[in-house]
Amino acid sequence: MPKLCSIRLVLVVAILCVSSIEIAFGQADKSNEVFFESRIRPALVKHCLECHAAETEINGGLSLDSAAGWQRGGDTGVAIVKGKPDESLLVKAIEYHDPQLQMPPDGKLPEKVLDDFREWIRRGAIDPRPEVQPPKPSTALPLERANEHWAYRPIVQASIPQNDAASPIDAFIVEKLAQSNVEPTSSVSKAVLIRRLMFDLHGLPPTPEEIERFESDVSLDAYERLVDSLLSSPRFGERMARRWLDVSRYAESLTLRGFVMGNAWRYRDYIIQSFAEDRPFDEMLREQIAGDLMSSSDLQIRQRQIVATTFLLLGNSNLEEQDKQQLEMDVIDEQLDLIGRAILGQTIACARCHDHKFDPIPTHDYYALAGVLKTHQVLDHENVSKWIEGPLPAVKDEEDEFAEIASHVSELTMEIDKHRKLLTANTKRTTPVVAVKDLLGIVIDDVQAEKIGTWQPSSHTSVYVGEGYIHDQNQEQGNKTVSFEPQRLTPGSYELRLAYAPSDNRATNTRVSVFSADGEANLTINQQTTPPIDGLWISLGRYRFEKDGQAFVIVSNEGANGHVIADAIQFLPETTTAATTATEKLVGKAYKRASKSTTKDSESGSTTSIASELKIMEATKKKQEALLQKRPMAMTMRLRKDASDLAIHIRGDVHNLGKVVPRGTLQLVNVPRPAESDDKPFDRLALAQWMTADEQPLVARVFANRVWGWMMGEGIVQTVDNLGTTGEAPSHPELLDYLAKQLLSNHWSTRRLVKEIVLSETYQRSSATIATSELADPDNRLLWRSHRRRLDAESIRDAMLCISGQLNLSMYGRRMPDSLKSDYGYVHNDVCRSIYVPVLRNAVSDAFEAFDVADPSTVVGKRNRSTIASQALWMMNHPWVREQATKTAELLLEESMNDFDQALEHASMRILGRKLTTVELSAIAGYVATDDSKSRLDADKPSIDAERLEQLTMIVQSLFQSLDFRFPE
Amino acid sequence: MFETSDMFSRRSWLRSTACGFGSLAAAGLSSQPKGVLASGASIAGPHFAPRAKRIIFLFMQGGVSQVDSFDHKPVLVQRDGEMHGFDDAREFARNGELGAQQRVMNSPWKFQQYGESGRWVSELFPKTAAHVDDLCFVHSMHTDGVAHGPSTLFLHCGSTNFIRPSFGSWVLYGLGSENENLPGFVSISPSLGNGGPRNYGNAFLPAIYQGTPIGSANPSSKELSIRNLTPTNGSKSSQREQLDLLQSINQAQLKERGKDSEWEAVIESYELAWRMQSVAPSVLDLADESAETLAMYGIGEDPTDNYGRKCLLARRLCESGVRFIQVNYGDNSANPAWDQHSNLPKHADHAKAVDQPIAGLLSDLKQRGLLDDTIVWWGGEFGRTPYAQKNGTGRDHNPAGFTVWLAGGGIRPGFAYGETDEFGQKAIVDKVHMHDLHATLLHMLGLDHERLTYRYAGRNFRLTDVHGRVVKSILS
Repeated sequence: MPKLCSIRLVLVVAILCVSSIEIAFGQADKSNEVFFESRIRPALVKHCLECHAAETEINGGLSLDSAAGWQRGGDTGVAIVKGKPDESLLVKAIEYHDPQLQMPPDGKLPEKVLDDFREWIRRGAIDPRPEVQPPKPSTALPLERANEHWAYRPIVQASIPQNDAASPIDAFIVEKLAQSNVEPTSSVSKAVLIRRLMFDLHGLPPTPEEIERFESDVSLDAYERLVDSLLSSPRFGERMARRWLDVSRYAESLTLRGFVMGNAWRYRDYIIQSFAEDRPFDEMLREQIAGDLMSSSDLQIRQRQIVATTFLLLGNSNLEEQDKQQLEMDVIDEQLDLIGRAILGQTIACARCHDHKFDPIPTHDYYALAGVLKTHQVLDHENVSKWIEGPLPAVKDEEDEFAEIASHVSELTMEIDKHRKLLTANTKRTTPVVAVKDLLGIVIDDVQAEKIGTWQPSSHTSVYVGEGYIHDQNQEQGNKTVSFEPQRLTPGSYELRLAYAPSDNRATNTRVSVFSADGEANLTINQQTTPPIDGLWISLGRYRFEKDGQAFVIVSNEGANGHVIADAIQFLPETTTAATTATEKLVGKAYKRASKSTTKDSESGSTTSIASELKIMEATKKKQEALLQKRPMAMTMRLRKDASDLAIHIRGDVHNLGKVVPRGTLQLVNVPRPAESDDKPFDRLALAQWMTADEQPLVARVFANRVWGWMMGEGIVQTVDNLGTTGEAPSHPELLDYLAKQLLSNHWSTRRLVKEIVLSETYQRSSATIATSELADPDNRLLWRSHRRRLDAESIRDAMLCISGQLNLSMYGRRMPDSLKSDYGYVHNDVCRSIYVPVLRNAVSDAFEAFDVADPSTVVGKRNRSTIASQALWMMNHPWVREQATKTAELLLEESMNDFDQALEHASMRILGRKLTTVELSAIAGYVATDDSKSRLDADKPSIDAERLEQLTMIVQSLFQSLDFRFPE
Repeated sequence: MFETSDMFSRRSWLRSTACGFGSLAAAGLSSQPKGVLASGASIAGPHFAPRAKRIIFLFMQGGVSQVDSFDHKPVLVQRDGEMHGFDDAREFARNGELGAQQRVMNSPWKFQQYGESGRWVSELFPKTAAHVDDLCFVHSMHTDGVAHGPSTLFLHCGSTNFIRPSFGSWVLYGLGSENENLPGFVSISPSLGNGGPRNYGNAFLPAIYQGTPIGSANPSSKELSIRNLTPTNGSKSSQREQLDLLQSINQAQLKERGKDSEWEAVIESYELAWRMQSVAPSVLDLADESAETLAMYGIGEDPTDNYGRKCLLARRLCESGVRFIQVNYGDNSANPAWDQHSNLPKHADHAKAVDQPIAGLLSDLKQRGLLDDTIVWWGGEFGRTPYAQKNGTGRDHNPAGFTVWLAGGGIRPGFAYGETDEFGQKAIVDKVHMHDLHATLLHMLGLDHERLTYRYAGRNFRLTDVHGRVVKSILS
């Protein structure tokens, strides 16, 4: 046997020698090639090349179809290091150990194949395949050539074309029309003009009296005076604000769980007020980006600055994301998308995972900006993270008052604590065993709980609920749990309490987990100390529970350093004045017992006096806390202690970090940055200043283009949120620059810009068609006529409320009940202007949804314009529409003293802004003649009045539905 | 902001046939070439020959446990109660921890083999089990997100956080509806929670691709209706008279102002609304169904009545040409229906409520020949862990491995694809990501997930982002 073995050994050695000789003679390449061809190439073809080859697609930037491909590597770096399998990313990926890097995606390869790859790389990764094709050149405009795109160049003062146009704006428009030989339409009548202007500036129709007054005013400046008066009305602030709120994706709740952001409305009011007062738009922008970093000794300004920054905090984020790094970067991405599209007209978010495919925005710039935003924390993280609110600055007296209350509350808390301890000490001998039925709320005793592992019943320490308690025998740590789950729980908010019988041998680190609608909360309880509440309970905090939602508590012995006790869990509903009542009940009992036993010592006072003092203090504390809660709060953010520059996240992956980039901003425009230093890096304030610097070409262009679009129906650049290379080219670039310059020279006055636009002849043109012009310019890019207007959702609603006499014009303020916690099923029944209707992401009203209201989760510079059956269904069948028609008819009949024909005429003046035509009148006459409204009325013999009201209601509803109401000229 | 690609608008212009809820006949073109659509479909029909025309998605909200239903793991019996290291998705997301010790928890339900295909099904779904030879199980599903909110959005919209159109909206965008008097995408009793309307929302796609909710997840409301479908003012005949008045006024105004395709579309929209309110209620009304049919779905009996009605309605909508019908089994809470973090045996209540209705739906579709071109998709937003959460009495969420099943419409029957590990926790063999499932389902409808794109905010978006592969092995 030994001989045989040695022969074999010799043979093996001989074979090894042969192969080493081959290597020595330079034939290794051949054998390695054979290895590649027989083992590696087939594996690559079978498992990798479907996604990683120039021929198919180059996922993650990695092609494995040639040595050049894997040497170049992908987004995460070089794929293979010759001779070093352990350092090769490819091996790491196929080994499947790193959850972030696992390939191929449909499952781990067999061990044999893994060994082949390791072996191949160890041998030097010989790969004879020729390079298939060089990587595609980037499609993006490079930074150094950014100037080739019009929007990145400085704004130029264009010379106004010399022609006989009425205004500079008209001069630009007329010039192009003449060049293209396109004939413009004539101006509209005064009655049409005032209606157009009122809807554009106020979102409301003119009254018949207003139309009449304007028509009869023949002075030359009648129109300008009308414009001025409309511009100085708060209604103008509301109308402009609604448009900016579309852009800033304003909402008052989150989709996730319908959480209500109770202080978001302050931002809405800030925007309305700012537009109403015509505050410079550049200042508004600076405040929205960095108001919290500004300062002012003026309280109102300070409040404004704080509130303005809410702009950055209204994103519809998924706060339940469990990977909080991911969540934070998602929030920042949302903010960058907002800042990019709303203010700069740039699709910055495209550069999160890779350099922008088209625009000169490298990931470098994305993470430079992300670093600027990351300096502040916008969420407090929990299972479900929460946005941050802070007190709104108040006048000194008020501040002092609140500070005083706060310190009083903390003093009281300490005192109450002391008293409770005393009371516990005094009643310890007497409190001990409490029956479940004597307790408030829902109590689950240990006998009803679900036990995992062996739990020993005991009543040794005689402080417990019901029939004793259970303990884990201080054994098998990590293997035993007790689950307390109420059978039926009315949804609502509860304080949860745990009872345990304290003793010296208990665990000081008992793990308790509470599962509620807010997710999972993990607590550690020291079971050696006497429970603070009545010597029996410790509070686990306050939690929300939903219908059919999770509601249970797990006590675990995981990692416990002593006996773990589980006695009972109490669910105390918020509505019971929990603290006091529970104590009262118990203290009452204790008192009865105490009075029977011997009198207590005098030093710590009698049990009765302590108890009554405690009661008073607790009541006072509650009142004071209620006062504190009344303090006005605002959404805000908090400076991070560890603010620093950010690394580029390779492919947007938060766990795959590349080079760290200094905080900064986009490089695609040449705008000087405010001075920076090591102790004062580029921050949000610097970003805000950079955005509104005189040299900044994007921001003024974007805003001037928006204002133009709001008044004219289309922007000069139609893609109003995208002035990048993928956006549309401006139809009138010189005019856009003229408007931008006007904005700058008028100190960013929105009002003056609007005024100049609406005073132009171009604004006043009819929307009718001219056959030859239509043929030459079917899209009306040259503005030979007005774009056809269409009432938006808010204008439809507000106009109907206005006409029916129901509209309440009161301004500002929170419009939801204070108690509203979730937007689920919220019923909108307000008669305020639409801008004050709460914007709830899970409860957008039928009408708004049908009529293309802006999606409150994304930047919407230009609303969708759709014609769908649900609009018609709403108009035909929604009770609200019927109600407005009825109210309108009532009003009209009352005004006309039941003169049907006169009421009809008024209806038309109010709803359509004109008299009925003869064709319309005859259609209505025909309807009245044949309609059998009597049959629809309840009474057997309805009065003539009731019959008239019913008919007029039907007619009014038809007028609301008609084209001329929904599409004003 | 609303951008459309050239191809998109040109095709809309060229298309002359109408289809789709709220879509308008030839007149539906607007004066605005961009933004208003002529028809339900916005790309010129499917990319290639479809295998299926429509999908019924039976959404099991909250996450059914795969190891208690269709993914049979005998090792759970053998190792019940033992501690074992698992890569828990929640722990990993929170603190990067892998391999934490967890207590293996056996299923309280017994498994047995069914049908010629011999698939294992637990006692939870005895009625569905009778259909295994028609079903195709995908045992190797995995998805993004660990919590309901993110994962539910991912299931519907292909993203855990961003505002994206939902699956049904993409389908409608790609194919349009087959019945112009009905919505092409409905969600029956959708939950308000975990994404709520976003789960059937069109996001940046045009409004006609919005899903239409029928009823709500509120368990106290059993009414299955579409809003604003019933006249509130007087009788139907008087409404027709009123509509005639409106249309004479509209025609007069149109004549006065000249032609405009958008205005014509509005006039047509009132007629369409009128037809819809005549047609839809009869589809929603189950009164003409036979007693046998009702019994097949478990209607009229507790606890199957509720879901039974919804499944039967799904069949009726399917017959009427609706493209995507989601039948929700859930509720409005943050921890919906199947979310058994504690008290795992509660799974049985939910299974009882849906098993008979689902089996009834499968039989009914089959006997009517509808299963040939209808895909039934059953599943939740994720699965559950094979170990006890916090060592308690329930199972936590598990996005790493779970089972869905598909039936009909060109899907390979009596087949099972992919595997999880021995415990049923992680998908390891032939993994199918939710993106892959989306890609595959679109493929069955004749849509290439890489070409079904929509231009918005400067770039092309698609349901599967830059991911997704068609799982050809499950095609028959």
